Amino acid sequence: MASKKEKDIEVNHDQNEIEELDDRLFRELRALIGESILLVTESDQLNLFGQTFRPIFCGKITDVQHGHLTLFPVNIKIINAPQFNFPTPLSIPLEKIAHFTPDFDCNARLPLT
Amino acid sequence: MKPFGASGPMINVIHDQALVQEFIDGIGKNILILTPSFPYVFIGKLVDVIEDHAIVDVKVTTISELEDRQWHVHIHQIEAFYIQRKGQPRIPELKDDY
Repeated sequence: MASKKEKDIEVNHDQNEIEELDDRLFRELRALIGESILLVTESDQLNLFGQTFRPIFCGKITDVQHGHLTLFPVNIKIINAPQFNFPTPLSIPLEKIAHFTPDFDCNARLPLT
Repeated sequence: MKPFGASGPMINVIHDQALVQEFIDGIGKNILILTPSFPYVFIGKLVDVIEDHAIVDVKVTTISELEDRQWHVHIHQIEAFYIQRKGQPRIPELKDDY
């Protein structure tokens, strides 16, 4: 177990490295804060208490960090409840994003067949 | 440390490291995790992070037999998550609502 000081140094080291990096995706996503996007993640499907759904999320970007972005409110396209709004914000790891399209109207209806 | 030298793979490593850091910062808070692997949902308290595994004191998942135990969840398997912070929406008691 590293001491707190060692951990802090490690964190600072990581932060510096992150800041040095010219992460265009990060900057592009940050510029989209406040906009709503449609975003699809890698897996074929997710499951919420027996309800299977495709990992299609639509919501307003409220935060972007180097490892993830956060959507809220966020709409999940469940087959029987296509306008289901998740009760909390949801964060998506950047590495799990398969594709996304900015400036998408989350009230638009999509066929999910 | 520059594992690959090129900027492409490097960015992925940075994203992954930053994600783990987000979980480390959330230790002690309530967390909701969606993962494509069974049992798909974990809700409970994030008690620790060991390497790239989140240790969750799971109170609610899809199957009651798998509740009330510590689960080690591989952070890079997680598809969506929410770490509940002060002033942010509470994770509902999903069991009764769904």
